[in-house]
Amino acid sequence: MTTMLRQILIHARNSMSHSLRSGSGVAFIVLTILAGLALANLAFAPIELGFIELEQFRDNAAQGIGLVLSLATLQQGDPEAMLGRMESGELVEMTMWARYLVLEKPMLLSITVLLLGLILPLLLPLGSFAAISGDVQHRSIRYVLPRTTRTSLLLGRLLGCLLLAWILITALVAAIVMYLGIVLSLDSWDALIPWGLSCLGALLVLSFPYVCLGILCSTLCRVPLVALFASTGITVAVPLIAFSARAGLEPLGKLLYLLPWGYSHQLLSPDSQTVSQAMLYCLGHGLVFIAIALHRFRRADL
Amino acid sequence: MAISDRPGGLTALAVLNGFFALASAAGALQRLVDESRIASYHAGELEERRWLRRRVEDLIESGIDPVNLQILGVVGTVAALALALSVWGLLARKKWVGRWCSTLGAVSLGTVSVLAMIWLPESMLRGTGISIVRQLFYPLFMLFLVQVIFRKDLVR
Repeated sequence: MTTMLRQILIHARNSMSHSLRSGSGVAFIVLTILAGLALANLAFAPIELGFIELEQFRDNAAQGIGLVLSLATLQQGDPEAMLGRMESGELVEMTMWARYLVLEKPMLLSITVLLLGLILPLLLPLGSFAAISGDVQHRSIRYVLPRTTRTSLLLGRLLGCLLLAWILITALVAAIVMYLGIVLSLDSWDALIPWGLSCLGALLVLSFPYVCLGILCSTLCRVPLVALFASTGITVAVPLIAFSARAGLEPLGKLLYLLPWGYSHQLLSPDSQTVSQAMLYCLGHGLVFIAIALHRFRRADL
Repeated sequence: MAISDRPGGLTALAVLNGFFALASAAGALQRLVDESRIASYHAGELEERRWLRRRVEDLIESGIDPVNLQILGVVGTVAALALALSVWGLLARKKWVGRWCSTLGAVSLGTVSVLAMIWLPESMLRGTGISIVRQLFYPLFMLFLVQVIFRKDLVR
């Protein structure tokens, strides 16, 4: 067991150092940071450049977030009529949730993290798609396997990809919180730091199933590019198919739960029990993906 | 077919440098053109196109110093040239053209971002402070890569 753990840690360290030298790793780091800061810019610009008054922005943001939450939680009824239903006081829970994110917590941080929650799932496969398929394609995996077990190799690569993604997300959230605290100063540090930590926790947990999905596709596909298209394609296709199918038959909207799209927003819920449940679902989703990947990888003809 | 032992990260860095060289060249050219238009306006030689005249008048009203625009244009051009040269240097794994042109390009890119933040009016920056942070990220990351990670790869 100790040997296996040591091997996993060695593979994780090698995977991280290889990521900094590989093209996909460099592209992943640059794109994640630039996209994250661009999203923050998108959220901050209306206030910082004075395009809109703070109170008006707050009202609009509460409405917008409420609408997005209503759609994401698959509320019954016509999606186009959601805004009207919210204004008439029908979707009270969604309205209260949106107001919690905008009025009780630092608004700009909440908006940025919600946007990151939409974009990160598309970027995370970039950091993991070549973890296994890269070595399989070049057959270099044959030189690694005599010295280690397939399980330790897969788990070590997963840990390496996860750590890299977590370091990037932590750096991104730290930069955004520091910018909000030092430059914009709309909220106090007492409000920013605890909410920043909660948001960081939410994003770290959210990244787990998507990195596992990347590893799964990397195990199933022998060509790295195919693995990248597969993991990104599945991530994009699930919500598209779910919402299209829901227009025809309401229960088909549940297809959204094939990936964490269906509950990821609950990681920012005001109810701590809901947050814990969403965290468990994320971990469960990731574990299912990694169990399938392990099953496939241990039996693969390499 | 020969198999290259060049790390994939160097190829990715070369592509990114090429992209940033083009972006920097476009920005530098815009600033040099603006500076020459301001000079033409003062000399009474500016063409009679209304939108152009209004743009130049806006620039003058914002209190921008044409010398600052010239400096930004020149430093931006240096950044663009250094980055463009570094594309070949990184692909060929050259020490001077790869490592040091990337370093010069990174320093020039960072300098342009900081000087633009200090000298240019907000209307010309077209962005918030966090976009300046974003502009500073790539030069710093590039410096880290060429001076630390790929230090031993750029030796020819």
